[in-house]
Amino acid sequence: MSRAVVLGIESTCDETAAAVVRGGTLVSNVVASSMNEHARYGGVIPEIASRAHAESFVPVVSQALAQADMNISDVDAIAVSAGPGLAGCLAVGVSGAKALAWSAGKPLYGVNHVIGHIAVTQLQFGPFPADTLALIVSGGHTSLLHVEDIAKHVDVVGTTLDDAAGECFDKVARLLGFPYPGGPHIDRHAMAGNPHAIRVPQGLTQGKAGQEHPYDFSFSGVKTAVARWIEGEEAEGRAIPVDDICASLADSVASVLSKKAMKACKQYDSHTLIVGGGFTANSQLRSKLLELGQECGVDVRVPDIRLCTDNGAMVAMLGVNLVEAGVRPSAMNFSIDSAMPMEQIYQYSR
Amino acid sequence: MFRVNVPTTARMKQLGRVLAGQITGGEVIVLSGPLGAGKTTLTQGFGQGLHVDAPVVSPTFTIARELHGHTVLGEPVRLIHVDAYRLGSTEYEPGQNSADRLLDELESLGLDEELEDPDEHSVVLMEWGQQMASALAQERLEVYIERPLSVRSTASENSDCVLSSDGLRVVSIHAVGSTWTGRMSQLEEALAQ
Repeated sequence: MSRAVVLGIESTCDETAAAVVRGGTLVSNVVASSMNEHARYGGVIPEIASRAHAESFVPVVSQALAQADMNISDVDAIAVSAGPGLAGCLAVGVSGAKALAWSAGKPLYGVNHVIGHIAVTQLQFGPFPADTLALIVSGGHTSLLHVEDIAKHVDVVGTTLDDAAGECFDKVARLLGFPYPGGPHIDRHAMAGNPHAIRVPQGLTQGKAGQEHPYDFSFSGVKTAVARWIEGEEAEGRAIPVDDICASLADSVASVLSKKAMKACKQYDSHTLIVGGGFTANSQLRSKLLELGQECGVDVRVPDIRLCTDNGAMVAMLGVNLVEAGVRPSAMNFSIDSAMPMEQIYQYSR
Repeated sequence: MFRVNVPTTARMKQLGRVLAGQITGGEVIVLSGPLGAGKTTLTQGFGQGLHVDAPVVSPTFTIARELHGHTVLGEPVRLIHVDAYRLGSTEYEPGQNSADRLLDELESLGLDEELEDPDEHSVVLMEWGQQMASALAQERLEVYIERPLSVRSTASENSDCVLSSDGLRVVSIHAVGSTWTGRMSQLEEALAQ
């Protein structure tokens, strides 16, 4: 049987991306980022990002097709991220994809970006077993999901109750005077520091709160504790041990994420953990997950960084899963949903 | 203007609930204070008080989030939770000096009118946006959370202790415009209980 060919389009945040996937194989992958334009603001500015998407949409999509040596008539379907993400950014990608699908007479799937982060791992590791767990961590998301069937049934096991893990890193990074994005700076300094120098709290792991929220996360208190400590040290005129702060913070966040993910694997009797999202680039999280995975007998699938960060391949791969599962395409009146629920694999119609 | 001492996280949530009890629809609340002051905690209490339908998580990434709840009188209300942290450039404190940028953002989210003239079924709670909100909303309640250094815990002197986010906060509440000035004594009384 010939496998489905899908063009995937992504524009949820600061990356405009498009890719072509055939079956489980990546044929082309093009990413344009507006990251540099946001750096001086200390974070992604939605309005600026939306304008960048409008500029990059056609060149990026054309390039993805050209690299695949195809034109639009060669694809079976188009998939586009319909949420969650920044409303103005999603609108550019979804409008462009609708116009393209309508003019080419191709079916269109408005898919869930977060579930795309799970789907993309198939390109590197092949299909995953039923009842796989997935940990998706980025600047905007921190979720633990149970994947019964990637095309039909995904449910939420746990999620952050306040800040995303990446947000906590970005905010502490700004406090330490690192430029945006702060994650890579924290990572680098953490390598030189002592992870046990400062005892950073591990949110929702202890006592009653830990019992009530075994699989949920909280990083707001972690950020506060670190901020208070830095302020106190400064007030007393002591030098700030930047490396140790970064190492201790990274260790706390990586430990909580990994421990809770493993606990959930046990609960769901799952032997595969998929990891995705931009925060997966963090080396402390990668090594902690692999270490605990080995201890617990869980196959931890951390894809290459280029597949972890936002890209079109994740959208195209999920599109292939939907086409091959025989799921009906989105109706042309489907809407973007900046707060799309994690259980919703794609948008059908309003 | 009055001040209240808030010694614990539980009390900060309660303060949020009490504030929510004053909401009838159409209000703007501007919440400010340094990183880790307790803005999220207060907002979570505020959300509880309005019985909102989803957890109150940080809107930093999306700039604004919309939640649905109801007032103490049972009227439906839309809580628009705005976070202007990222909107200021790094040359300024987070959220400052960027009224125009915020306005652009809110416009693209369809929320600019909500801030200038919130309808009777909305309440806007805005974090990190004191300067912008002052330029946009004539009627507002300003809530400022301070985290005094003098009450810093001794945790850092004792490396065996886990760092903590607890500690005394001092909250200043200031009414701007008639919507809130008329409710101040009532609010102060409710908070004293």
